[in-house]
Amino acid sequence: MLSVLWIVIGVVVFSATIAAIGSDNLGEYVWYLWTTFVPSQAASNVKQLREIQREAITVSTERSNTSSQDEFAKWAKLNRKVDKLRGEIEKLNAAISTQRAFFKSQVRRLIWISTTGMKIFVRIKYRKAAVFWLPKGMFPYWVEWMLSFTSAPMGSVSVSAWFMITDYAIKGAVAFAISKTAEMAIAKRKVPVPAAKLSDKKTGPEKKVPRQEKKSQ
Amino acid sequence: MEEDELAPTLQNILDQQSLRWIFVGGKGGVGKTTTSCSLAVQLAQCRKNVLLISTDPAHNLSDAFGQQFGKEARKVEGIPNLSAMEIDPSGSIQEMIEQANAQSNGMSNIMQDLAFSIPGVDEAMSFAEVMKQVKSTDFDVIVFDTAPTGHTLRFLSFPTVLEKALAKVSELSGRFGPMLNGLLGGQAGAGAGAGGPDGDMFAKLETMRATINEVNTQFKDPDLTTFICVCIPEFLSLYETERMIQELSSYRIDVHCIVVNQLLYPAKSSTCAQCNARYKMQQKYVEQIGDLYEGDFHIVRLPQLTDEVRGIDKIKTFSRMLVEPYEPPNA
Repeated sequence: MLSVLWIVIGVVVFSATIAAIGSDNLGEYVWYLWTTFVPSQAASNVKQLREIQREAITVSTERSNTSSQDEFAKWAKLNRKVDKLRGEIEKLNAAISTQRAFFKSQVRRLIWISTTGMKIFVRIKYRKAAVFWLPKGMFPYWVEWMLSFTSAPMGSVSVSAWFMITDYAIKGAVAFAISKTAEMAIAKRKVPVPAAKLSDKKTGPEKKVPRQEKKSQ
Repeated sequence: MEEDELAPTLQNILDQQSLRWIFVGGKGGVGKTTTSCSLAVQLAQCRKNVLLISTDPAHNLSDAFGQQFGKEARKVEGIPNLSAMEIDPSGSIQEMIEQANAQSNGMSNIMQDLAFSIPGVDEAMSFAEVMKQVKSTDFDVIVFDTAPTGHTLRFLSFPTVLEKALAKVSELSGRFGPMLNGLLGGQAGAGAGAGGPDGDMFAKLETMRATINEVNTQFKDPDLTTFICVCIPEFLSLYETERMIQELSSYRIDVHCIVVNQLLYPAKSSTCAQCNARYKMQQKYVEQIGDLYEGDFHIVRLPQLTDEVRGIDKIKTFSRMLVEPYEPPNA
């Protein structure tokens, strides 16, 4: 039964991680990786777009370096090229943005399946299993009843209850980690302060810093 | 400079018997009217019946031929198989609105305002009008002397723009028509019972769309329609011409002739400083035109004359230069 315990923890940790990153951000990252490293239609479009954009820049610089009055023929030819490239860029942009929207929606679906969907699946599959047994008589009857909710045997902890507990714990841990990191970041920023204090007290910004320190203490 | 792959004349237009619509366009003041009159005169010599139409609000066919023309096709004196007419693009839409207002009610008013505020619709309607007229009589070819560039382009872009817009309007009216009808029920009165005037209005819009669609297909057929660009060898005119050619090809309207007008050929002994300077400048642009369009276009070079091209005889002499390349006197 230990395995159920760890499955639940795994699922919860995984969802918490994704929630911390943000599913939209994750979609962006995956899209970026997909278009950069995986050979696909979208990737070739993105590559093509970059090439055309580069070309358009060269051609339009060339055009602006050409006098339209003295070399009209050359200028007009460059102008035609610029217009053509612009049209292509627009078309590619449109194609890419549809592909990207589709891709991101697929990623979101996948995320849902691997987090919320997984939670539901685990709850249903192990609904009758006991994650672990409680020592007898440790809790009053009604607590035991609640912990075994919905259909785990009496005196054990059910998957649902275990999900709630781990979820609560991990969320707390994440919040704690975030606040700790923030604190550390602030602390890091404060490191140069004593040095500033020592060196010179006349300049404006350095005077402000110690005040902040006092407040936080 | 005479290494053109294509002959520097408009002979190809005269030879292309399938042509039905010929547009002559360019910036204002480059000699569109002169060119179109000359072309019409030349066409009259090899076709049975030719019509010349001016859609420029500042009509000058009358001035060019020294004869008054109006809304109806009228024969040009001295050339029995050439007729000319001047139409006012804004005129026919005005008429239509007035006509529609006579039997208006709330709903159809709204839809009319919508339909008539579409850009290009007035020209479109005048075009449809012209097509109707032209269909009833039998002209082999119709030469259009169009208004200066911007106007012309709008005129020619309307099929695509307008079709979309009209489709939208009729969709909208289909969706909201009944609702608005209900709202305006009191106003519309008993007459609005079964679609009545509104249905009429939408039917009208529908026929308008159909006509425009036909115009569209005709104009995009290079066998039936071509556009002749007239320009003068100056920067702005060239710039406009290039833009016009690009735009026309984006509407898939055939362009394969450019008329370069008002070329100066001062005598070698000429001491006129302005003329010589201008000649040099013009030659520079003529060369640029050659570089840019040679191979794809017939480039016709016409000289600047010392007098205005007015009256049938002068137009006739001038028109010869469209078919026989002009040789500068002291070249």
